[in-house]
Amino acid sequence: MAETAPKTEAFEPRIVAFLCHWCTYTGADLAGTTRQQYPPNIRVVHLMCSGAVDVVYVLKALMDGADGVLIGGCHPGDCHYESGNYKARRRVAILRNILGQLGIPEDRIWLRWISASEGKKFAETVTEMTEAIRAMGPCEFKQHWDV
Amino acid sequence: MDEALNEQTGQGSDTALVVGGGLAGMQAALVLAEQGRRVVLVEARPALGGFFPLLDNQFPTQSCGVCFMACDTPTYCPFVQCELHPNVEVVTFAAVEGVERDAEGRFRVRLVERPTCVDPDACTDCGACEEVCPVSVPREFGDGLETRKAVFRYYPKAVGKAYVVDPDACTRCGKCVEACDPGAIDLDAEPREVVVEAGAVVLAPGADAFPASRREELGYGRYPNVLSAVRFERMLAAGSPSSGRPVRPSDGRPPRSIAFVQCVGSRDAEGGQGHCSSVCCMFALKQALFAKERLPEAEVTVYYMDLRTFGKGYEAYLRRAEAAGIRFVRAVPSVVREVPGSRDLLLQVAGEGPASAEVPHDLVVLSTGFCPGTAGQDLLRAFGAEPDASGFGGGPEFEPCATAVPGVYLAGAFREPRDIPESVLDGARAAALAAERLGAADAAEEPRLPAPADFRGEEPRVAVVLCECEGFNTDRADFDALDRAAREVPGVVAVERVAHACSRAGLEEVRNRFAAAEANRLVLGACSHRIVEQLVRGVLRRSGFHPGLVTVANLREACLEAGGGTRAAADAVAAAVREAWYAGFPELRSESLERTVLVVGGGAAGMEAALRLAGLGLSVHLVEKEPALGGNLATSRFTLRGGDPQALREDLAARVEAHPAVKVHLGTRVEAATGRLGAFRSVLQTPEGEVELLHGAVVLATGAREAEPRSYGYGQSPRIVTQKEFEALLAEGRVPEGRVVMIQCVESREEAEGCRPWCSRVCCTHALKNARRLLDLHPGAGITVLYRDLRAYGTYEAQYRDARDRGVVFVSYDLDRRPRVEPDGERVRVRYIDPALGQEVTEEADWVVLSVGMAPDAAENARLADLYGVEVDAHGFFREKNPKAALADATRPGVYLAGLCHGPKHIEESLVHAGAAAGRCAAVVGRGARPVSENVSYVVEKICSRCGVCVEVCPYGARSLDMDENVARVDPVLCRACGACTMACPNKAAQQYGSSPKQMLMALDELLG
Ligand code: FES
Repeated sequence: MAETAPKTEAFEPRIVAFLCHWCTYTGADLAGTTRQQYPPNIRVVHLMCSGAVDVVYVLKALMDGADGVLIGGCHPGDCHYESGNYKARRRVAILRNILGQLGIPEDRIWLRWISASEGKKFAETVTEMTEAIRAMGPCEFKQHWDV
Repeated sequence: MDEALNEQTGQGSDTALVVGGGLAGMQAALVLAEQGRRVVLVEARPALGGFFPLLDNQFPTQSCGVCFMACDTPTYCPFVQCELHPNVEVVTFAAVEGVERDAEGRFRVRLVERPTCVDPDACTDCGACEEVCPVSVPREFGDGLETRKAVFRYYPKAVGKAYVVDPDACTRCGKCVEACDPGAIDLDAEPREVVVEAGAVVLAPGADAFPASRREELGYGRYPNVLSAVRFERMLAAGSPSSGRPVRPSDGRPPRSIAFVQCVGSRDAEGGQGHCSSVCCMFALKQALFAKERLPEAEVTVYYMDLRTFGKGYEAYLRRAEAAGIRFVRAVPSVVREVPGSRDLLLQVAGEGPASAEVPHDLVVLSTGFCPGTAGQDLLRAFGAEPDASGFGGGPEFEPCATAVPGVYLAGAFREPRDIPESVLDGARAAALAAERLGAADAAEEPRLPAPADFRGEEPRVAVVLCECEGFNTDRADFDALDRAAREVPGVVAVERVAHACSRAGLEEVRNRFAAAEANRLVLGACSHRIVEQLVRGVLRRSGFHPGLVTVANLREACLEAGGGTRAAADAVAAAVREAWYAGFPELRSESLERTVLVVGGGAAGMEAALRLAGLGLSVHLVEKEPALGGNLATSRFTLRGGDPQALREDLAARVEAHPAVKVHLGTRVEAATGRLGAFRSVLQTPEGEVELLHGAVVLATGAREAEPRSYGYGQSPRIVTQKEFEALLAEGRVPEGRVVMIQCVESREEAEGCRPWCSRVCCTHALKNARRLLDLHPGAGITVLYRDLRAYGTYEAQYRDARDRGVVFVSYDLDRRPRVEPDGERVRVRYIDPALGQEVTEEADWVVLSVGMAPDAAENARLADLYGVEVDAHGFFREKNPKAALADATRPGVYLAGLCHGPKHIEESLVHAGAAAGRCAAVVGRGARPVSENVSYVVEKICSRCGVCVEVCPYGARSLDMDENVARVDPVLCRACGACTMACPNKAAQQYGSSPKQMLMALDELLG
């Protein structure tokens, strides 16, 4: 900060993460307890299952100014509700389609399987995603909406 | 914990002690705990898990799924669940030091808990101690692939007392003590003695991994590129030094040619390891598949004697490995040499053919099996029982999991080498036996609490309580700023701070602050939902408030530990305030479950399930379609281990018929069924007419039969018989001296039309038992067994060896060169290729015995599956809920599986399966009630259009349509709160407490505000 100020304020992406209670949320906990540091750009929403992430929530997050949305669920075969993660996968596929039509690059939405013991993977995913979204620049959806 | 333990020790016979915290032990503990018994779970290592944490992925699922071993899902993984369960006390790093058994058969067990030297409550897991520790020793977890310090985490994902000081490695330099900020380390900590009084004991100490260095000639320990299976498994784990990529330890480069050497430390009687370890073939296949997947260029070869993929679905896995290009060579490398310089390896391979050659590979994995381990043997002896001849725990064939000492039960790989599914089943059965020993438990008593205040209809007033976490949180966020930010969130009437919310005093403090603020919603900004949500909800509920008033904001794990800082924490609090504002209040109740169980099928499994259920205090109706009980036992005359199935049949039938809690319906069939867990209604067609039955659960035990052969001349000569027919002839002494040829895998393990693609698991042992019986009758009999892979797994290997020693000739054949059988009058000519000679051999046999394997009654199973809403697999066996962790559960709650209808099994294995089904069933319906989830789904009736989509998507059958009122309905017992319906409903009429659309959308506004 003591150095010369950048010309424009550096872009800090905002990412909302919808995490399933049994796996990814617990994995995120583990990332915390094992002191895996990851960028502070993420805001976690706790849900029972990745299959309970509504397309509307994702769109709402983008409308509210999120630059990326991460959906985290149990690995295939491991969903604690049998098939919620498969439902999430189908829903995300549709969602990406919709986003494409709205002119939002579909890779602003990440779906990742992260188990309760994969704290490291969670931290890495957040880090990687933050960098990827940073490179993409701000999501313009909010501005469109505000107009 | 001390407090709780002392409470326990006073409780006498109500407590069960489980020694061994691997999967079998954890399963036993959870099944007991879910049945309402207090459990002390003791583990010798510093953390729970046994072998399991080593496994990055499991065959055949290639995933984890161990959470399915909970009796009632969803729940956390068993590691966490054991720590969290109110009925389970976990004592790690502790050993049994003394056992006394009183006159009534109760146990007084002295445990010594070794000091970890790190206070788990003070330790913040920062890792500073590990950094400064100057000691470096090989890490036992992963068989020394990595090194560790003297202060270390036992394994990376360990739950519980994470950091431990190894007293043997520690030099007492004191650097860690200095580095530890919270002062958690005390190198002079003393061991602690704990006395447990228990009415029953389950021993599940696990087996040891065979030390590969004992097979010196294979180069382990001398050549870096020779790995043990355990070391290679660790290498394949995502968190390994090579991040899961197979590499050569000598130079770190990926191998081009990997060799797996099977049966290292198994099937080696001279080496003192006469047993087959049962798991290594599948283990190697899994590792080979992962190696191939990660290094597609590499050549992968498996050197084996027999491929023993005998479990359910394992044959398909073998074909998958073949399809992936893994090479299988039937040959046993006897010596491994290293090429100086390149450090490549040369394997001296003595095959079945005459030639012996040296084959180069650049990485060798030794498929090391199990050895019984002296720790397990000593433990067993401490309780007054003896290991069997193999050195494993063993025990009576038809009373699996029992020992010679009443009240002491055995489970898992120490009982006999076994894989995860069998270990988990063992754990559940041992728990059922232990619970029965403790005496029948009553249905759970609901504590009567006043109707909770939920302030419905009042304007929300939110109190925010922030937890400082004893300085942890305050060090990482500006709490004054957080406080100010929280006050600005609309609806917040008070912001308070507590020092440590999750202690008992802290929780009371939280409740007091909430009450004093005269608020009607509470946001607790503390740690994870997982840790604190149930605690704070419980305190509020007991104080007369509705638990739905509480919303947790995860500040510690999700924000501060990860470096999110004040800003992230403030957003999380604001979002939680919004969620609390729009919270709804589910009706708090639990639904009653009928404590009666219907068992379908009166064979060994059905009778055993009925007896175990009755022993656990449930009423049982046992239905058998035939006029007599017994199933396959009726035609079983003897077993390979010397058991008498007829005596077993008579004993089980007599006990079932005499038991006051078991009603037997012979000549009866289930005609119709409706309902769900806790309330099934089945119509039985009995000889006396229709009977309608209300029951809480059903155990399907419909069995399977020996299939009828259609090849090898069966039916063309009375001298061509099946193993079962031959068994009857032998039992009746009707086999004269002569030559016998047995053909294994008849129409089994083949995809062709009319064949059974699965391995029937028991045919090899049946062939062995018949061969040995024939030799008992006629010591000079000539017997040839033509086989593809001889699958005498576990300690059956001893009988296989015995048969060979007694002159039985075993000759392998390939599918493309199968034996040919020509009936010829009183004799049968058999032609086959002898691989040792490379020539065709002709034998004139007096008998040809066909091992045909087992087939289920697919049509009947499909009919029952339909009635009870469960699934059958492609072969007509019932499908289990999870192939590793829940084999005794069908695919729908309240429906359990026992015995052959789920897949081929030996009699003793069917008994284990049945006991496991009973234990797990009793853990759910035995309680008589099931609490309704706080996140249960509901219907906003105004906007429900009764379209039925929610009914379709609900994985639990919890939704139905009410045709009279024109709305959808939720059965709160069945709803597991997954939210599938809420997503599917086109009108948003299906909603869920805790995450309604309002709550979610408003929370998002705050998070991104
Ligand atoms: S519970 Fe994790 S994805 Fe369904």
